[in-house]
Amino acid sequence: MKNKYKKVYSLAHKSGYRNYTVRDLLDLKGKKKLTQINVVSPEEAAAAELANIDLIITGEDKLQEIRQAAPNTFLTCGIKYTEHESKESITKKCFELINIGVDSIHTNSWNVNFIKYVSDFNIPLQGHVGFVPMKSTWTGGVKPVGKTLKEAIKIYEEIKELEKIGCWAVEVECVPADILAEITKMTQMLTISIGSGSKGDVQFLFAEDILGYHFDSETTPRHAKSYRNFDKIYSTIQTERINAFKKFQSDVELKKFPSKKHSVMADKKELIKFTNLISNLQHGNK
Amino acid sequence: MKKYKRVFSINNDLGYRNYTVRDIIQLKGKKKLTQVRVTNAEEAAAAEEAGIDLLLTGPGPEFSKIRKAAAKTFMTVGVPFIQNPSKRDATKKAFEIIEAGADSLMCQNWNLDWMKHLSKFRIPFQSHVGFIPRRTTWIGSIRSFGKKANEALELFKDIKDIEKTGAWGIEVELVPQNILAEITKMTSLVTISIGSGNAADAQFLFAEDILGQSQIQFPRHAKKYANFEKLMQKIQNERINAFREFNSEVKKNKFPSKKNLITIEKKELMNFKKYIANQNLKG
Repeated sequence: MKNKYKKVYSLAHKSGYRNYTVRDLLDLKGKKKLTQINVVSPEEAAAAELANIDLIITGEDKLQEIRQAAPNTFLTCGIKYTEHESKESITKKCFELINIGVDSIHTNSWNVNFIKYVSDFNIPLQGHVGFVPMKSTWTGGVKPVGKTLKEAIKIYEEIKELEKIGCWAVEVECVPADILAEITKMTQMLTISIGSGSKGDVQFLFAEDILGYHFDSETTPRHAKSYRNFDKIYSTIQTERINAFKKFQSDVELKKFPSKKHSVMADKKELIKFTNLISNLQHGNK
Repeated sequence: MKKYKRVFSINNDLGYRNYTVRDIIQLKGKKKLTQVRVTNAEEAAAAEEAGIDLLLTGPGPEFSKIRKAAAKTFMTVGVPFIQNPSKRDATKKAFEIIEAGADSLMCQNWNLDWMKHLSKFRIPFQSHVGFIPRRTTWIGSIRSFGKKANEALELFKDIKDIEKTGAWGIEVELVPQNILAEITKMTSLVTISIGSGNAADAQFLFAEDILGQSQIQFPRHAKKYANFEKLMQKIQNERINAFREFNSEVKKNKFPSKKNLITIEKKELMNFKKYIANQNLKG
């Protein structure tokens, strides 16, 4: 069977297979709509690869396991910016992630000078504009950004700056759909929409929203869609776990477990010899 | 309803527990206890809910979540011997784990002198005898331990040595049931059987075996009470199908739809388009 993935060298010079290179993604702008999912576990990553999701993104926490679970999917990784006070420190972290096998780095709330510095190493970078949770105090809280001309211009300027630096893509979060439609035409970068309508080059969602589990809030965000109810599935499974442990507990109490087939026995002769040895030992001690 | 008692943990946190170490020692010969080894918060919470008496886990990054998920169950945590090459290192690591909320430590493969040292700090710990996976090379293979009288005597001496260090309990792995039955009567330690029959003070199993998702070939001494391997595969298929549906809806322009959008007033949009057109002229 022909491998549906292409042979590539990773940024760390390891050979492997991937669905896309950065170049492929740039060439697909305006031609093919892509999907990106934020995954937090190897299970989600493996499922995304099997479902032919185009791009996956994750944080540093389980990066290694996630890379192994979806070895052929273009993977972007975010860096906790508050852990890096200098451009050298953040570059070092980028190199570490590259050695684990990431294909691109998400710059989120970085100092723009750090983004420039890292970009000079030709590391593929994805930026983030619009509603950026960690910067949301500047935009007035959890709400859309870009509904006024002034805000829309600010977004446009930020995007142009990232483009000039050399980012290949930009996540655009909670921006009016019409604004993103205009901007997408005006930039060579791929625009990645989350809550910003259907005109981005890439449609992005969190796996937790697609699957329908709610860690932080009661409901799925307005811009997202749940395709399953994993809250319910997980609670069913937890009940299964509790019941299994209860059965074990009661089996032990009722002496049903362990039974003969779970145990080994010493021959009667050896047992008698053993008790004799012990009683000799104890007499000797006295 | 299950009752918990108010206790201070060893790190001086005030909380609730099902047992203190003294309770466990006093229950020897009176009540059969259960112990389950858990590796994540879900298993820990389920075990507490099910009324499992004792929990065992490792000191990895999951530990703080596991402690929170089963805050009221007597919890023993393994102290890896191989990363701690001196008595001082091992004690330091032990303190770290105690500080994180352990009620007791598992000193598997530890040097006896170190256990005696730990005991001087009045830290409760259990140890391990019989078949010890890491010591397989000394007994030649993965096999039961103590079927011959001489080996059983060796086992008895091991247990007596550990009793003298000040341990409260001892995991006894793959030992003949009738041998452990004799030894349980002759030691003050709480004996914890895994694969050593039903005559011990406590019965121990791995959560992964109980749930039927063993990481290794299913051991003869264990029993499956659920088929989580199958269940997890079913859930993984749900994940794959959910992602597939999302993928296909995006490609068919079905998602996002109008209700997922943020709109902008026509006037503001027109102004923005003008601005962009000007930028182009300048550019």
